[in-house]
Formats: sequence, structure tokens, C-alpha cells
Amino acid sequence: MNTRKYIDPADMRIELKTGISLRITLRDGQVYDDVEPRRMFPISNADMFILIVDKEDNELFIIKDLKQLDKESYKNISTALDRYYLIPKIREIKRIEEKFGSLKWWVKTDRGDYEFDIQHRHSDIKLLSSGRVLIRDANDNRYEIPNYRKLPRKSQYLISGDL
Amino acid sequence: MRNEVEAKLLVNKPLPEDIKKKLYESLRDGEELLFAISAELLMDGSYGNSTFGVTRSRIISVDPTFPSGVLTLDISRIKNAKVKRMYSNAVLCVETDEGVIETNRFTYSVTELFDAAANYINNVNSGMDPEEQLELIRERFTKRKLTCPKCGRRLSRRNPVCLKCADKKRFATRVFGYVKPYIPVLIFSLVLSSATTAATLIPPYLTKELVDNVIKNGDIAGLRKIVLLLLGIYAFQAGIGAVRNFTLRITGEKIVTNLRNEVYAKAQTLPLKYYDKTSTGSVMSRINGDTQNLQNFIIRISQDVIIQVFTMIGIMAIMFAMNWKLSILSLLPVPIVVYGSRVFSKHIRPFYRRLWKRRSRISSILADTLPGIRVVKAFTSEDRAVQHFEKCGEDLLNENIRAAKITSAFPAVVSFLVMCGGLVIWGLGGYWVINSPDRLTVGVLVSFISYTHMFYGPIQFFAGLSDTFQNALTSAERIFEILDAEPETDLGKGYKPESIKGRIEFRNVSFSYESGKKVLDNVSFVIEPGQSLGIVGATGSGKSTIVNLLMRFYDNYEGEILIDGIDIKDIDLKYYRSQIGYVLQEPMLFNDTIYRNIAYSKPDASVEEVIEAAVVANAHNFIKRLPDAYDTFLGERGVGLSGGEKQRISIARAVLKDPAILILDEATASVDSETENLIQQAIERMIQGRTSIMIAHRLSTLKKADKIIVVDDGKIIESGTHEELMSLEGKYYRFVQIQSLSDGMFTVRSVDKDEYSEIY
Repeated sequence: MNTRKYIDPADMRIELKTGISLRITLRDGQVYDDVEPRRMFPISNADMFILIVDKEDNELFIIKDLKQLDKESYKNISTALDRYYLIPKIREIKRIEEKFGSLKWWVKTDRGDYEFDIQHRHSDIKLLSSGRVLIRDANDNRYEIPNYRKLPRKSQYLISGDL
Repeated sequence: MRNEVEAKLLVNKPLPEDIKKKLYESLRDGEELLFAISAELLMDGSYGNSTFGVTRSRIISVDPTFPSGVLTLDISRIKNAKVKRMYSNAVLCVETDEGVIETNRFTYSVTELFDAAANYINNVNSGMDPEEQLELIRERFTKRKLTCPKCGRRLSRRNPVCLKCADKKRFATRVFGYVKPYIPVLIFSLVLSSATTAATLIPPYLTKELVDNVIKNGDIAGLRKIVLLLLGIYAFQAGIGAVRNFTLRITGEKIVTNLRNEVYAKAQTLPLKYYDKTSTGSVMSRINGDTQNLQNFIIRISQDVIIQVFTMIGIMAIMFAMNWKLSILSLLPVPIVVYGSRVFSKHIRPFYRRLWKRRSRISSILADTLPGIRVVKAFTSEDRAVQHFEKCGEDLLNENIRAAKITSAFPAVVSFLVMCGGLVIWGLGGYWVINSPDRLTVGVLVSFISYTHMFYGPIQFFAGLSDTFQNALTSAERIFEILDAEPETDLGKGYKPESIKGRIEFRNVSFSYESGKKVLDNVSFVIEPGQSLGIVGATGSGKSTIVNLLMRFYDNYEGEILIDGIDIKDIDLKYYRSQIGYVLQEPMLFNDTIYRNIAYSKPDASVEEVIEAAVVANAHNFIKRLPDAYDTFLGERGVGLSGGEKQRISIARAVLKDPAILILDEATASVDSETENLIQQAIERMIQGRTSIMIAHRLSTLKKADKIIVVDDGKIIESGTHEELMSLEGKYYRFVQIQSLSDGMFTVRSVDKDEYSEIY
């Protein structure tokens, strides 16, 4: 028996208020206002098991699969989630410099060009079996390479030593 | 005027011109910008230049995604300012009568500055002195600017030693420190090396004499003399070489032993925080592999470099003395070999880093699973552990194969080039010998060829010197120790009952770990299905041994242990352990996500089941608040779970397994009272309807047990319910009394502390 409250995505309509704040109306008329979504699996399954919390971060219920939502609701909650979770996707690595064990990366991402430092090259760059690479910078910001094998050749060469 | 203002402006980094322009254009007459934060992130989440500025009366936010590009607000209108942290980014939210406004979005890189800005706004609005508040902001900005002038690394406080740079400076001295005690031995070895090197230069010269004078003139006596001389030289080389190798090896081993001991001693003193960030496997790999690498490097630097330089100079001197024209010709491939070596070295470096990473991964698995072998066995995960290990081994093998291709190809190319150099000398030298024998004799040509080949030895040595840093040596010796050990024989081979109800009986069980004192002496008890048994006793009394035997970690005991009337030795071990849930005092979590740590006990569990197990174990509430929630990787930077949190994850793992029998070995021993309550709640939920055995040093947690046994010196001395044992006024009663007293003392001390703070 589940003690968590799972609500069927087909039974709700989700509207985006401001920022990451949502209004969720259930089929029975119940309204959850000013609520926010959180991913239970932000890395492995971003669209599944979305926790809905109130302003004080109290858990309200779980939406098991966002893809079961209607198109508009899906778009709204996805916008809020994309805003909450900032994981720029690296499209190109322009340069990597190493200084005393720390790395400085110059990258092109889906959110523009950026540069950041990596403190621990062995633990902060994680290669998953699918070719996906998860990166964490010295300030705890996250980045992702969806598939390093699809990066430009020079980028692949630059990152190859750390995978 | 504006330049002066700009120079005084507190800012985390120089502002781009367009932003600066907008910022200053937004100022009213006489309004002064106090500080500004460059945020690097726009409201739409893309990277770009945005800025948050504060004057005495207003905040000014510049962001190209705003309709007018600028947002201004009077500070007096702000009821509250706060930073809302999200995932890898945050926003500054200011609350006004009209609602909440998000002024800036930014990455974690500047969150601390925005925190300070929010505090400034709130404090100024609450009537605090703006100048004092500005001073705090100034301190925050200054602290941020504390960087090492050499490497740019951020420093925690003013004028500290930059550890990285300090280490670099001291690196040579520190390495020399390990070598210093062995300098006489190394000099002795160097003398021997010089002697053998000098000896290697003689045979080619004797070859020349042999060809040009002895054989040509039919000088038998001369032939005998030279052959004997060559024999002597070879014997000398072999003998001295053996002594040298022996000396070097012993010295190297001594250096590496000292170094390893020192690294290990240091590892003992490192804070636990360090181990939260670094896997123990990685530390082990450093203690073993890296010290070995350093030893190799020390030996190469202190010996081979000097020898090779001498050899190179010696050969060149002889070659130029013999024939300078041929000498120059023989040097032709040198630039290509040197250049090729540099290119090779650059290309091979990533391979070695990848190899290091894969070796480190294997070390991590070993460090995880071998100390946690009980967990592996208790959850019958031997096959999965082997599969995981094999997968990582395969990765390492593949990387080794890739590296082998390049490391095999390069020496072949170099060797080919050297041969080509030899061919040129053969061609030109042969031409000279045939056409003008007075310019070059056959003997000189032959010995010259020998010297040319010898010359490329040092060249190749220097070319591959950097390689030594990275190529780690592995020892097979200990691996064979493991391979030769006896495995558990009856996994998957015994009887598998349809189900286990959970009746446990210990029938006259005696046991000792090694020959000697009995740890358990004639122990007998029965637990009926669904009942809970508490085991009480002093440290070393035999409590955990009862569990070890029940788990079948040891089989060589006397007597019988029965489950539902069947001897546990007759039940298939894998099946048997799969029916038992085991929660240890020190939760053993693996270097993996929280989700997979819980699902470890039931890999095919649905996500709902895993979440539900976490809920039962009182773990869901803290997991969901972690940024990565169930995807949180344990053993990484920033993920320092408390002992209680780790314990709840391990309880969730046991809950998910849904075992017939549950064993809790001091599950609440190392947590505070509040956490203990949370864990206790979880335990109570978990043990319902299951046979459970609980070992606990806090007796209050055992009050509800159906039966309690008191173990002393390997024997059961008391048995009954809490009430029965209390009325007995025996050992259990005394334990309870002592514990109540110590809890009371703690309370008194707390009160004293409160009183103390009231008085002062």
C-alpha cells in the first residue's frame, strides 16, 4: 500500500503562474495554488515522479508521468521545471586549461557561451554508459553533455582524457 | 567624475560597457551606486550579462530580457528580499505590496553575494545603520577577491598559504627528503652504473681492432687476447649490473615503504569530510599505486638520467673522434625522434588518465564490496557484484588495448627510423670503404654502426621519460592470494523451502572464532514466527556472534540452528540469506545513487516500491529535499549524509526486501536521540509481522520486544519480557539502572549548562 499520494495526470490541469509557481486544478474541482514541481529523478528520469510541493516545501502529491498530461499542462509544468533545474547542455568544448590540478573550461552551451572551473577532475566529471557526461563546477553548478561522441572532434579530443 | 565613481564601486568583476551604460543612465541626479553584482545569467536562463546594482535608495537590475532592459525599485517599498535557491541557479525575490518580483537570476557562482545583498536590503529597511551594512557588503566582496597571486585559487582567509602552490614549491624538497637517507647507497649504485656504462663503450672499439688489425693480419694471439678481453668485459658488466640492480631495488623498496607508511598515517588523520568526497578505493589506489610510481620516478631521476647523459656524451665523443662526417649523418633522425616522442607523449597522456580513472573505479568497487561483503552476501548479490566488477574490468581492458596500440606503434616507428639512420651510414660508409679505404676502414664502419645504435638508447630514454610519471605498475602477488582462497561452496546448491515462516531455534550452539576461548557457549533459545527478540549484553559478550551465525557467516559451530525446524546448513545459502533483512550498526552504503542503494536489496523493484520503502524507513522526507533527490550520488562532494540518514537508507533497503526475518544490529547506536526516535518509528513499522532480532545498547528501544535474552561471556544468563527481567532484578535490571543514571546525568548537565548561560 502506498502512503504517498499519486494523482493521475489525466485528472489535472496545470497552469503556469509566475516563475516556477503553478496552479493545479483537479477534476474534482480541488485547486492547489502557488505550488512548485520537483524532480525525484532529475538525472535519470526527468519527466517521471514529479513531486508537487507547497510554498513551505511540504509534499502534496506525486505525478508519476508527465507525458500523460494534456499538452498545455505538460508545457506549463515543463517550463517551470526547466526554470528550476538549470543544466546547460554543452554543445562544444572550445578550450580546456589545466592549472595545478584544477581545470578551466570554455564551452558553448544551449544557453550560450560560458566558462567555468572544475575542482576535482576525477570526481566532478562523470561518464555514464550511454555516452552522457555529467559535470559539476567548482561552485556546484551542473552541466551535461548528452552524448560526448556527438561533440565536434576537437571537443571529443579535449575531454577524452577525463572520461 | 564617472571614472572616479566607477573606481570606487564594489563589484565582483568588471562590468561590460553596455551594462555599465544602462546602469549609470538609470541613476538619478546625485544618486550613488554602492555596489553591483555581475550575474552572468539572464532571466530566461541563458548566459549573458546582467547586473544587480544597489544605491542608497533603490535597486537597479539590468537584464536584456526585461522589456525596457532595466528594472528599478525603491528599497523602502521592499517588504522582504530573499534568494530562492533552485537547481544550479537561484533568483533574487523581492516582496512588495504589489506582489513578489524576481529581479535577477544567477548561477551558484554569485549566490553568496546576492545573499549579502538581500540581507543589506532587509537590514536597512528594518532601521539598521546603512553604513555598517555597507561595510558588511564590502567585507563580503573583499573576501571573494582573496585569491592566490600565483595560481588564482580562491583562498579562505587573508594571507593564508595557498596549499597547491606551497606543495608545488616544496615538491622537489619533499621528494629529496625521502631520498636523502639513501644518498650514500645511491652514489655507490651510480658509481657501479658508471662503470658498467663505460664498459659498454669498449666492445665496439675492440670490434674495430678485431676487424681492421687482428683478423686482417691473421693475428691469432691478438684474437685470443681480444676475445678474452671481451669475455672479461661482459662478465664485469653482468656481475656489477647484478649488484647495482640489487642495491637499487632494495633502496627503492625502502623508499616506497617509508612513503606508503607516511601516506597511510596521513590518511588516518584526514577528517571524515575528506572521505565523504573521496572514495576509499581512490585513497587505497594512491597508497598502493601512486607511491610505487613515485619510487620509479625517484630511481629514474637519481640514477638513469645521469647515466644516460654520460652514455650519450661518451658515445658522441667516440663517434666524432672516429669520423665526424658520419657522426653528423647518424644524428639526422634525432630531431624526428625527439619531435615524435613529444607528440607521442602528448597523445598518450589522456590514455593514462583514462586508465587511471578505470583502475580507480575498480579500486572503488573493491573498497565498497569487500569491506561490505556481509551486505553483499546478506542480499545475495554476489552475482551482481561479479558482473559489475567484470564490466569495469572490461572497460579497463578496452582502454588498455587502445593504449597498447599507440604504445606499440611508436617504438616500432622509432626503431625503423634508427634502422634507416644505420642504413644511411652503411650506404655512405660502405661507399667510402670500397672507393677510398684510406678514409674509412671496415672496422671503423662496423664499430660506428654499433655506437649509432647505442646512441639512440639514451635518446629514446629521454623521449619516454615523462611516460614514467603515468605508467603505474601493478602487483599480481596479492591477487593470487585471493584467487587461491577457498570459496563458499554451497551457494545455490541446498534445499529451498517454499516459504519461511520465521521460527528460529538455537539448540546448544557453541562457537569460537579461532581455536581458543568460546565466544558462544551452549546457547539455546526459540523465537516463534512474528515475534521479536532483543539481545542485551556488554561489548564482547557474544551478541553479534549470534547474528553472525544466524546469517551463516560462519558455519563451523557446534549444535544446531533451525529455521522452521530445518537445519540452516541444509538450506540453500543464497535462498536462505535472501529471506533475511540485515541492518548494521554502521550502515554500509555504496558509491551509487540513493535510489540504487535502496533498490540494492531488490533490483527489480518498481519505483513506487522504492519510494514506499523510503517512506516506511522515514527516509523519504530528507531524500526529497536533496537537490538530486533519489538520484543523489553518495560519496560525492557536498553529499554528507548524517549517520541517521544513512541508517534510514539502509533500513529502507531492508524494508524493500520484505524479508521473513529481520536482524537489527545496534541500528540506533550511533545517532542522536531525535534521529533515534525517527529510526525507532521506522523499525517498529518494519518489524510488524516479521520475526525480528534486535541488538541494542539503548535498552529503552527493546521494551516492546516479545522476549529479551541477556548474554554474558557467551552464555544466556537471563531470558524473559522486559517486565519479567526487571522483576528479576538481575543483570538486565542493573543495565537499565545504569543507563537511567547516565541519562539522568546528561539531563543534569544540560540544565547546568542552561543555568550557566543565564547567569553569564
